[in-house]
Amino acid sequence: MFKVFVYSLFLTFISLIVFNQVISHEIKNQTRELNKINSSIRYQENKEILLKTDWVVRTSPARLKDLAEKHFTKLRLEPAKGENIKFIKLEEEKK
Amino acid sequence: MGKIFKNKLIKTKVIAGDDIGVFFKADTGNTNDELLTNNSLKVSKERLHLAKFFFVLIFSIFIIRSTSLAIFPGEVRSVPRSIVSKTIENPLPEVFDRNNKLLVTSVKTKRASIRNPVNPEETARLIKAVLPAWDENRLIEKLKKRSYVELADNISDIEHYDILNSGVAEVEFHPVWRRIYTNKELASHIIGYSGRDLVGLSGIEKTIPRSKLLHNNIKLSIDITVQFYLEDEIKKGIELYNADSGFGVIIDVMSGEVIASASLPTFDPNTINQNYSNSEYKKSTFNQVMQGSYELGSVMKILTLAMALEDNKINLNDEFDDTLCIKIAANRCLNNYNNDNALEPIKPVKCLVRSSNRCMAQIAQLVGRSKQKSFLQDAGLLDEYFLEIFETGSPILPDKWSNNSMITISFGQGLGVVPLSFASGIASIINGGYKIKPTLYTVNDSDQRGESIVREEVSEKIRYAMRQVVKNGSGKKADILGYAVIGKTGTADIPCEGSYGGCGIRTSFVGAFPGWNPRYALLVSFERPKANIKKGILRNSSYWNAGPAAGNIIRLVAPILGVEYNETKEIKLPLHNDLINARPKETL
Repeated sequence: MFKVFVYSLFLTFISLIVFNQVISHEIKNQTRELNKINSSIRYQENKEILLKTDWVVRTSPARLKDLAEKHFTKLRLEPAKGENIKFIKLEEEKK
Repeated sequence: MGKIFKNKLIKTKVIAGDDIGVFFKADTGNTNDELLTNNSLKVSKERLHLAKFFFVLIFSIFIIRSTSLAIFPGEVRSVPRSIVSKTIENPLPEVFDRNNKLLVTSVKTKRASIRNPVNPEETARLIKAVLPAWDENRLIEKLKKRSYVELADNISDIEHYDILNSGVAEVEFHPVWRRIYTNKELASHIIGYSGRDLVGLSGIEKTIPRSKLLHNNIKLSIDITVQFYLEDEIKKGIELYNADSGFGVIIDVMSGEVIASASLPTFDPNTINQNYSNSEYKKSTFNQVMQGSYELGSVMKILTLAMALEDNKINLNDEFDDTLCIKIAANRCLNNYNNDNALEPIKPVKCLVRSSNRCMAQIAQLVGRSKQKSFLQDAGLLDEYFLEIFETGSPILPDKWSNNSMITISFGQGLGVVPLSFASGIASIINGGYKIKPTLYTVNDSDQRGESIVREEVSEKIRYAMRQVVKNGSGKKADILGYAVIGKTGTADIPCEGSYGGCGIRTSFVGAFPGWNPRYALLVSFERPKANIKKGILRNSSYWNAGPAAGNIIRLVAPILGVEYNETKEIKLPLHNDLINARPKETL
């Protein structure tokens, strides 16, 4: 009875240790994967900031004006004039 | 313990048929010894059981704990950092303009440095191939002298790759943050700049919270497109009129938000740290609009007229003699600009249209010194003003507010005012007479008007008078169709070495649009402009430079700001008592 108990206990311990090893190995792998994803996220986020900044630089008023002047013969773009904009009065304002 | 075992010993006597006990019984035959051996075996067995129990307990604790550690790693302190810090964080807030256009952001770059190179000559040669900005001999000298040398700041990914491929083993890379000012020179005086360690050194950059707890994005009142047109037009103006410098500011007359503020020459905050030793660059960091203090000249006449109307000292039908000699020195009379005197008596509106110094001096004499001072105080011209940046100036007051000061201040000489507080003072008069405070942040409520400075009717009269200046007077070139621009020009002498004259002039234009219900006030000024006859600029007065520059700015900016365009709307003379009574007289 005692022997059975000891052996079963021993087996349980062994199996638990194996189970732990398997799980910790899995965790290590997943941590590595997570770190990879995190670093990729960080990289992408930094790239996103760079792209956003780049877009703002590209659409800066000074640059747009230069481009509009450069390609004026083709595009005929010029600053908006007051008479270009029609103001629609709301019914409430009329009352 | 002994007692327990004793009791147990007695019990074991009774038990029969125990294997071990029987064996000992048979072997020795001595009942006493037999009993003793039997008992001691029993005791050790009991102890073994006890020990076994403890071992099981300890093991199970170990197993349970290690299992839980394996399954729930988050509970434990020693977790790899990468799991905890999941997101990238900008160390400083981003700055946006009023339309959520990005003005300032932080970008992560790398700093390359080198530590204890084995062979400095070889290392320097390899580094020079990748970073051509380095002088090879200087780098060798540095590498020999110091154990740690910084190679480059803010290197790009390509450079990073190149350095890694160059074969220098001792190079280290540290991630660093860098502030990027996306619009370069635009609004650089307001935005300011940061040093290498992201410490703000001027402008908004200096005042935004450094703490990560207060990490909120900042929204300025600046409209970057308007800012661009303002700066562009003033830059063009400086070139065309051959001026030394120029500035301009546009503020919302209801909320006091600074929509645009240009001070030229200007600087690029992205490169200021490399160029700061350059004296030209140092000069360009001065913000004329907010730090400067200038005598703006005839534009002050608006305030003189407003204070007299507010105090009921004059009404619009009073007449003033423009040929009257007003003594400012023992044997010197006050002159009008270019000695252009009206021969007939003129009314206050005409005084403003003709920009008559003599007429304004007479009005100021009616108002009096103390009232003039207190009115200018109320309008915010005599105090230091509060703004969200550290670069603010203070007005230059006369040593003693004498009668002569009163007369000269009435037409804008002898009192240095900060352009921004002057613009907000004018805005406070034309917005219905309520004081506004200039601000660089967007405000939620568009109406921030405070205490009343002048009555509503005075405000209306001033608007009418300013409209006449633009329609028939010196501000003609700023009259943009569809906005009924109101304004006043000013040409002031720049003092030098204690006297006026011969040191050039400062021309300015203060105005607002649309005239019927002003929404934005504008101040434009040039320092020492010259005539440019080839380009059709016949003289250097404000009619020829500040006026047209302001007109161009209004034409470009008004559609962006969504100002109503109406060719038929015109400002009419307000029908108040003094005018109604006077009407038959006019028709005669």
